[in-house]
Amino acid sequence: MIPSEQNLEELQAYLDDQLTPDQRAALDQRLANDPVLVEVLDALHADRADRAALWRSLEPNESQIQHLIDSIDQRIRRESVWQKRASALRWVSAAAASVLLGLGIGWFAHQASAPGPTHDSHWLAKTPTSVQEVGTGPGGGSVVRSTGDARSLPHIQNTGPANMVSPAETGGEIRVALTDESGNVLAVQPFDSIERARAFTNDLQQWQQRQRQAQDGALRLVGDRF
Amino acid sequence: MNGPPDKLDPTIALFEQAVQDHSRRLLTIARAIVGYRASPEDVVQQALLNLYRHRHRYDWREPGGLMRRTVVNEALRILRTPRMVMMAEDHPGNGDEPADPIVRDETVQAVRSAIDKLPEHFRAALVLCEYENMSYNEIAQALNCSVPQVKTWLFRARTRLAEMLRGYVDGKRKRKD
Repeated sequence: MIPSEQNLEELQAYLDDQLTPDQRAALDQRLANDPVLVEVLDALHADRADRAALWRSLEPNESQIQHLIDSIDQRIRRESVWQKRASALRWVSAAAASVLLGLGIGWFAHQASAPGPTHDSHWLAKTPTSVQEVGTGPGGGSVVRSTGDARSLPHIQNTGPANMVSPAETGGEIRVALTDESGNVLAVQPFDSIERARAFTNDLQQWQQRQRQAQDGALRLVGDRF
Repeated sequence: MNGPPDKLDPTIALFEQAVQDHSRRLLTIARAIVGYRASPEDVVQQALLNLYRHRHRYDWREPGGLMRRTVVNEALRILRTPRMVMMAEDHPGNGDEPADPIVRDETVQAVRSAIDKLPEHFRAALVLCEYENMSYNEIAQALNCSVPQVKTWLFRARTRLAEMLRGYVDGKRKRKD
């Protein structure tokens, strides 16, 4: 007789100890009156015993267990070391990033505070990309005519003695070139009228003259008399 | 187990003790589930390493269920990943064995071969039920499925095994008679 699926399930649950006390008692009663059911239960029990032998054969021996534990220990240690290294690396990276950030901020701050070209700076001039000499000024400097784009020049206040030049008219804009003793153009000061350019050159000539006199000792301060 | 460097962490001592206490059963479960398809030792190592990494999340006072569940899930995960690894059969049995080692080995090999042909969830349910003596409810939790699903897997696993081993069992009985 082939047992029904329900009977098989119930018998398996019986062997798995998964029946309630009432279900178990009912099945025990049926088993007592049904030898075929007992035969099926015995077969299931035998199959289970064979599998139990397999499970036992799969159990590791002591040396295998110790090997496993040692391997786990090693992997954990290795991971701990790498975690510490990674943590240290993170600190170093953060420090390096902070230093770089500080340097960057400092550089930008320095750039922002450094004197740069401004439109109202009297001494800041524009230089042409090509300079054509058209004459020599009274201080030996050049009067130039400019063409092309203009670029910023360094501040003229710190460039030492500059030669005075006469103004030149270049296409509606008056430009006065300031040159050093070697004739190098240090700055070009633009003016909107020839009168302003002349006033500028005169002022500069007078200033240079006073500078020379002061250097030669020809000028005396009022306070020197006392 | 010598333990990792950070001895100030109390969970480490609990973890070490749990590994000492449960390694034998965990390795057996892994062997039953993965068979020759992967290294059971690697499965247990990886599962326990995962637990160690997140050890602060768990309660280590009763770690048996947690470790079993983790090993089962890791074994199933490994089996879902296609690999070309054939493991050597080096799992000697221990104690409480049939008197005749030839018969014992023959039976074990036949059963093992049959179990190896079952789907992995059937194997997992079977080993947790029959080796670990877990209830259907516990197995359902470990395998993240319902209790009826567990019952179905167990019933089908046993039925298929009986079919696969029918010839061998009949022959054994005849030899006995």
